[in-house]
Amino acid sequence: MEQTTTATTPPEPQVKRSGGDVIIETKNLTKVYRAPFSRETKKALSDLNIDVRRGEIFGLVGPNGSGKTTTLKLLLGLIKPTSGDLTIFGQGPRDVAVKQRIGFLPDGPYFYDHLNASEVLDFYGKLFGFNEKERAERIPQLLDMVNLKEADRKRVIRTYSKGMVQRVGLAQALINDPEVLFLDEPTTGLDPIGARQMKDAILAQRDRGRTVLLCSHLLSDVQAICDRVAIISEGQLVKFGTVRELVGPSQTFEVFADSMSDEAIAKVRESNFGVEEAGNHVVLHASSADLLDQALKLVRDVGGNVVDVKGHSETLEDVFVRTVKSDGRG
Amino acid sequence: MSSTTEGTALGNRGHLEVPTNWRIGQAVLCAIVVLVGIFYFTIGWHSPAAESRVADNLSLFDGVGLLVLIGMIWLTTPAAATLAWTTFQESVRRKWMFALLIFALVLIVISTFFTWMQPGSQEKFIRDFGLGFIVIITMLMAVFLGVALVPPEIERRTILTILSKPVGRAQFLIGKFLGLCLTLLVNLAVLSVMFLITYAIFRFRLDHGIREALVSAPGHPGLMFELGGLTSALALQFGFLIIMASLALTLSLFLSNIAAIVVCFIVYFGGQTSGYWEYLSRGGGQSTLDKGLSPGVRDGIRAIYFLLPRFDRFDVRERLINHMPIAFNYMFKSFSSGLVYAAVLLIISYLLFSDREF
Repeated sequence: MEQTTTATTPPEPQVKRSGGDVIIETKNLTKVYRAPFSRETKKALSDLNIDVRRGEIFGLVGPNGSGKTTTLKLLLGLIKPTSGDLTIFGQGPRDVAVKQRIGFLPDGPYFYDHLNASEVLDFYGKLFGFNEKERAERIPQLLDMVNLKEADRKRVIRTYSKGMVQRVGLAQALINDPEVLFLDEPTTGLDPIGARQMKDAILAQRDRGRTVLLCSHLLSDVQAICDRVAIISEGQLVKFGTVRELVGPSQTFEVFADSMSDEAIAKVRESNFGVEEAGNHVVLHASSADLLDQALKLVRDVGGNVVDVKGHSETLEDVFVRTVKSDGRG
Repeated sequence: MSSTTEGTALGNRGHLEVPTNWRIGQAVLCAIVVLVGIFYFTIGWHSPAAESRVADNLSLFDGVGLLVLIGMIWLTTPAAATLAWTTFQESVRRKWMFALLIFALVLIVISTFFTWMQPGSQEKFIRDFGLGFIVIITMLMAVFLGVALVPPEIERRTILTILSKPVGRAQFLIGKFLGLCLTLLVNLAVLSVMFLITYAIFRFRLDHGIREALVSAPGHPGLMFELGGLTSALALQFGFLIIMASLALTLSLFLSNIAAIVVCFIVYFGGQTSGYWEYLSRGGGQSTLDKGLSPGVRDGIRAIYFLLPRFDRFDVRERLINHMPIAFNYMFKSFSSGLVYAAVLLIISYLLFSDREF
């Protein structure tokens, strides 16, 4: 595991961030699946130590089969850990009082398809013990929020598109105005506008002081909205920190120059910069801000003309691919 | 999705505790059950002569049955009731269920056109056909709906969103089970009403008048007596269905659908012949075969007898043929035993389900 994390030194959470109090904490959380009537086992999660703090958007990312969904199911009490501890609001995940304070949108949600959207939300509202007046007030608000058209609300769910079901899924997850929202691939099935609206809805939850735990393959989304990210691979935490910590300050720059003689180009090529010719331009690659200054000076010294400078930041996707590959799992 | 997700006055807590009004309602129902128990224990229902073999007063076993009923009432929280109602809604909106119900209703009505097959005892034909048909149809409903009560929730993953809400696993199971019981009760009631109306109309026509049909005479029981007996038989059928539903639910938690259905039918036939198993377990037969049973085989048979539900207690068709009354205490005892059996199965279901991973 890389610098920002200390996964092998439990039980302290790897990253502390100033701000809200810890509301979800795992200590050496391990899950081993055992095939029925067999001695064959599979370690889905190994010694996971993370903490989620109030008011943040926490991203859980990893390749397929890395243990993201297992982690989510453990946090929701749908499966039991083989070893280790897990608390939400200081209590076990199967505590009914905990469930009163959380919301969950599963990956590819499925609801009773003989009901329409309003009936589905009414059903979940009743499970929370909301009375008729409360439900009548809350349900239209939620359906408005997820932009489900009035005409669609009375159609049974089985006639809905995937995106519409996903919208109902978000609405049911918010029915109790939860303090913590668990979202598993929330933008699945949504068109670009729907995905954008979903991201806005998630950010709005954080603005209201709510906490969001997000599992997603869409790393650009995770980078855009998450405060902290845990990268899991083959059941192990391989990187954990704030997005800034993970992506780091490293930037690469491209200096585009023209009006350069063959002699000037030859001089530039003698330098340590990566140099290439693109059309009428000569492009110098600098891997840091200091080197950028040197590259600009070099171009001017050889009589060239700087026409453009482009900066490239590392993305979470770059970090993810590099991390998973260097971990020998990619 | 709008990004303005302003909270409402609702807050985020919901209502964790069962509302007081709900608890009062449950307490009233439990009190009624207790009063019935006290009445039965102290006074009892005095059976007609035909029922003289059945104890009139509350036995320990009946008391356990009443306690099971009280437990079921108390565990039915609003969340369980919500699940029960949704299960009922889902069942009645199934197309095959509706088709089966219509088919059964039509067949009950048109059975009056086939009475020529039993000349001289046409009313017996309708009675046997109607009752037998309702028994089979509702039993099939109990088995097929029972095995499909929980596994589809797991396959379709609807269970993930339900169990992530403040719903305990026991509440989930009880809710689903009560929803099935409600479905069976409604279907049984609809079929029964249609059958009783059909039978009454047929008797009016057969006896050439309402007054004639109502008159009792030797070999000609009055219509009201017969309808009373048939109603009791149909009410007992509900007790049988409760056992079948709980059996199907329990089996579906650890067997495949097909295997669960097959075992249900085996238990059904075994339970129908439980009197015979009892007879064999006593080794009291006069035939050479019975006397030849070794003690080990007899113990095995006794174990089967104790494991099987006493379905013969819920089948009173023979009594109806012989124009015997079905006393209330007979029904009471049958229901008590059924409730105890169903409770044991539901406890097994809970043990199988409580640590299940999804």
